[in-house]
Amino acid sequence: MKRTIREAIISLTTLAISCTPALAHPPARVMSLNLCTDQLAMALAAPGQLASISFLSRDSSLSPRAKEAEAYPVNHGRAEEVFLARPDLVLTSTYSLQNTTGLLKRLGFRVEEFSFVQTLDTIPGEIRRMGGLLGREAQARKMATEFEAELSRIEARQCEPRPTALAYEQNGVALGRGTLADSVLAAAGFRNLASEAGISGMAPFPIETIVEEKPDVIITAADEENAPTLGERVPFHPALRALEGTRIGAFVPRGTWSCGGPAVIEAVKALAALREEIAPCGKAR
Amino acid sequence: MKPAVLNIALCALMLALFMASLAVGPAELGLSESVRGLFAGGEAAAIIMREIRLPRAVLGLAIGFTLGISGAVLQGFLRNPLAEPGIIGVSAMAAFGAVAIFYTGLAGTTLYALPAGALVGALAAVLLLLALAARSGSTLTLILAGVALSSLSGALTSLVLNLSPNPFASYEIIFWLLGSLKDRSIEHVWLALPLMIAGWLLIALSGRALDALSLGEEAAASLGIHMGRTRFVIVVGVALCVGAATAVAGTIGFIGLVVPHLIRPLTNRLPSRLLLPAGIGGAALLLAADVAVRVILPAGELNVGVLTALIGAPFFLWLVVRSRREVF
Amino acid sequence: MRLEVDHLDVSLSGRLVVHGISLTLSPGEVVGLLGPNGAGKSTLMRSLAGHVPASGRIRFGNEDLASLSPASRARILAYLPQARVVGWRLNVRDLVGLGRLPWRTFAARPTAEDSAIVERALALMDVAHLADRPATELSGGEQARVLAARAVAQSTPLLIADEPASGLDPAHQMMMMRALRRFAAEGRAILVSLHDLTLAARWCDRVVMLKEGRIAAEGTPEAAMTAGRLADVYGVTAHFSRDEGGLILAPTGLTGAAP
Repeated sequence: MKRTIREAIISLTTLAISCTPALAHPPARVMSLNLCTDQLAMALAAPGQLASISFLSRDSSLSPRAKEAEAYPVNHGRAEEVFLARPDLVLTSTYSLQNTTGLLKRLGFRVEEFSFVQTLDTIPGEIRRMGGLLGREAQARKMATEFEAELSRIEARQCEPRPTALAYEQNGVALGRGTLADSVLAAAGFRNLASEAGISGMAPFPIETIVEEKPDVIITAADEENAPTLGERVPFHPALRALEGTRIGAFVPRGTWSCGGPAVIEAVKALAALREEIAPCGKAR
Repeated sequence: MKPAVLNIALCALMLALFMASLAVGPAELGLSESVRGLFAGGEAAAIIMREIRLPRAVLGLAIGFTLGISGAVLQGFLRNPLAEPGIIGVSAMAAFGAVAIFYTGLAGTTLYALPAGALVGALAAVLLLLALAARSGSTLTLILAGVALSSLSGALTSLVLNLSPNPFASYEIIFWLLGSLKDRSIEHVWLALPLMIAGWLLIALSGRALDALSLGEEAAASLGIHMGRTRFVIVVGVALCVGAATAVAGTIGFIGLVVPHLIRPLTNRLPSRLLLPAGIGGAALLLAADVAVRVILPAGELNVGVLTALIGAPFFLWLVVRSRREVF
Repeated sequence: MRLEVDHLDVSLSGRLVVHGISLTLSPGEVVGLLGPNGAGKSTLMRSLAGHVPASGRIRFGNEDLASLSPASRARILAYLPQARVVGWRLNVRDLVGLGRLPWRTFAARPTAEDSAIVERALALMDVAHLADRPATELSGGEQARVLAARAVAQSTPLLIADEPASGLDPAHQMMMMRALRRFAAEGRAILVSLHDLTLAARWCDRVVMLKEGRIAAEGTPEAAMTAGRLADVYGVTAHFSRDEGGLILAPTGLTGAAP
C-alpha cells in the first residue's frame, strides 16, 4: 500500500513537471530560423542557449545585431539542418517557410511561430513571450518596460501640425498602414503619406504621386555596397531629387525597422530627432 | 502605297501615341497643365512631365523604332520573315550580358555597365546566329538556334541574379525577361539613345544590300554588294541598338516580328523600303502597348513585355503555320 | 573588249577542281560551256564572277577582274546563278530593276534611263506582259526568263549564265537562247552553260567542252561536237543529223566507258 501511494505520488509529480516544461527547465538548445526571431532571441537568450540563427542576421543592412551574429553558427532554414541539430525549441515566423514549419511539426519538434505583422504596441508582448519561452522572464520584463517607457516619452513630446513622411523602399514600394514603419512614423511625430493615400501593407507607390504630394521626408533603405540592383536606384529618380524642400535619405539606422524588437526604439529616436529638426515642437529633450 | 504616304501616315500615328503616352499616368494632369509642365515651369506638373513622362515616352518611341527596324533588317538579311531580335535570341543575350556585368559588380556599380554588357551580349548572339543559320536559310535551323539561345540566356540570367549577395536581385528577373519602361529617367535616355541612333544609321546603310540579297548571296555579290561589309554593318548595327534598348528596358519581344509583317504588304516588298516604316510602326506599337499597361491596371502596372508577348506569340504561331504554305 | 582567261586553276576544299583553263570571249558571241555533271562548269563560272578564289589571270580589256572591287566588277560582268532565288514576293518590274543597282549610287532614286533599260530587258526576255505580276506566282519558265532579264538589265559587256535553260520546256528553252542571242548582238559577250547538246549546237557560236576540270575541246559546234568527242567527254553515243537550222544531236546510248 505505501509503495503504491509512493509510486502514485512520483508519477503524478513527474506528470505535473512534464506538463509545465517552461517552469521546470528552460530549453537548453534553441534554434532560430528567422531574421526577426534571431534578433529577439539574441537579445534575451542565456549564454549557450541559442544554438543557431539564420544567415540573414549576419547581413548588416538587415540586422542591427550583425556583429553579434558572427559568434553564432548559422542555418538556412532547412528542415534537415534542424533535424541534425536536434534543438529543444525552434523559433520561426508565421510568414516564412510554411512547408518547412509543417514538416518540422510532423517530425515532432517544438516550433513556436512569431507573427510577421508587427506594430510598436505588439513589441512589448512579443518580448515578454520570448522571455517566457526561453525561461528568461525577468530580463524580458525589464526590456519590455524600458521600451514602453522610452516610447511614451517620445510620443508625449509630439505636437501638431505634423510633417509628412514616406518610407520608400526598393523598386518604388512604400510602407503603408499596419506596417511597423507606419507605427514608428506615427510615434516619431510624422504623418505617413502612404497610409493617408490608402495604402495598406507594402505596395508600389507611383513617383508621380510623390511629386504631387511633396512629402517633407522620404526615408530610403541604405545602399548595399558591392551588390547592386536596379531597384535600389528607384528612390533616387531625378524627379524626386528635383523636389525642393523634401529631404531624402536613409534616416533610420540600418536594420532597425526590418523587425519588431527592442532595436526598433532606435528607429523611433532617430526619426523623432529628425522631426525636431524640421518641425520643432518647442522645448524638447 | 507610295512610300512617302506610308511613312507620313505612320508618323502621324506614332505622334498621336506619343502624346497619349505623355497624357497617361497616376497623377491627374489636365491638358493645359501637361502642356505647361512640358514647356514652362509649373512645379509638380513640370517635374512629372519632364522627368517622368517625357523620358518614358522618348524611350518608348526609340526602343520601339529599334525593335521594328532591327526586325526588318534581320528578316531582309536572313531572307526569313520569322527573324527578329526577340525570337532569335539577340535580346535575351543582351539582357544576360547586361546582368552579368552589372550585378556582379564587374564594372563597378555605374549604370554604364548595363549598355556595355548588353552590347557584348547582343554582338555575341548575332555572330553566333550568323554562323549557325545564315548559310542554310532554313527556317527550322534559325528558330531552333533562337530557342536555344533564348533558353540558355534566360537560365544564365536567372543564375547570376540568384547568386547575387543582394537578396532583392533575384526578383529583378521579371524585369529582365519581360521588360518594362516604368520610371525610366532622362539618365536612361542619355545612356541609350546615342547608341540606338548609331545602330539605326548603320542599319540604314545596308538597304541596297538587302534588296540585292533578295536574289541570293551570289547574285547579290555580282550586283556589286560587298558581303563582308554588309554583314559587319548589320551585325554591329543590330547589336548597338538592340543592346542599348535591352540595357535600359529589359527584353521586349515580338515587335520586330509583328510590325514588319503588317507593313510589308503596304510596300512593294523591297527590303530596303521596309526599314523606315517598320521602325516608325514599331515605335507606334510599343507606345501603344506602354499606354495600355498603365491603363489596364491603374493600381499597378504590367510589364510591357507581357503585353507584346500576348499579342506577338499567337501571331508568331499563325505565321509558322502559314509559312508552310505560302511565300512572303 | 574581250575577256581573256589565262591558266586558271580553282581549288575547292583543297581539291583542284579546274585546271589550266585558258579561253577568250569576244563581243557579239554566245559561247556554250558543256561537260558532264561535276566537270567543273559551275565552279569555272563562279570563279570568273569572283565568288571563288582562283589563280591565273582573268582580264577584261586591260583590267584584271580579280583585283576589282565588287562594285566595279558588277558594271563589267553580270552573273546569273543556277539556283533560282526570289526571296520576297516582289513584282517582276521591281525584280528586274535590281539589275540597275550597280549603276545607282547609295541612296539615289531610279532614273528615267534606268526605267527605260528595265523595259528593254523585259521586252528582250519576252516578259513585258508580266511586268506587274508577283515574280513568285509565275511558272518555272517565266521565272527563269525574269531572272535572266535582271541580268540583262545590268547592261554589262559580259554575261555569265549558269544553266539558264535547265528545267524549262522546249519552247521556253529556245525562247531563252533566242533572247540571249539578241542580247549578244548588242556587242556583248555571253558564256552560257548547257546540258542540251542540240540547243548548244544550234544557238552557240562556239562551244567549250570541259572534262574533269580541263578543256577537252573548243571551237564551233560543227568542229568540236564530234562523235569521238562526245564519247570521250560524256561517255555517250549520239545520232547526228541536220536541218536548215543547224546540227541536231540526239544521245542514243552509253559507251562502255561511262559508269
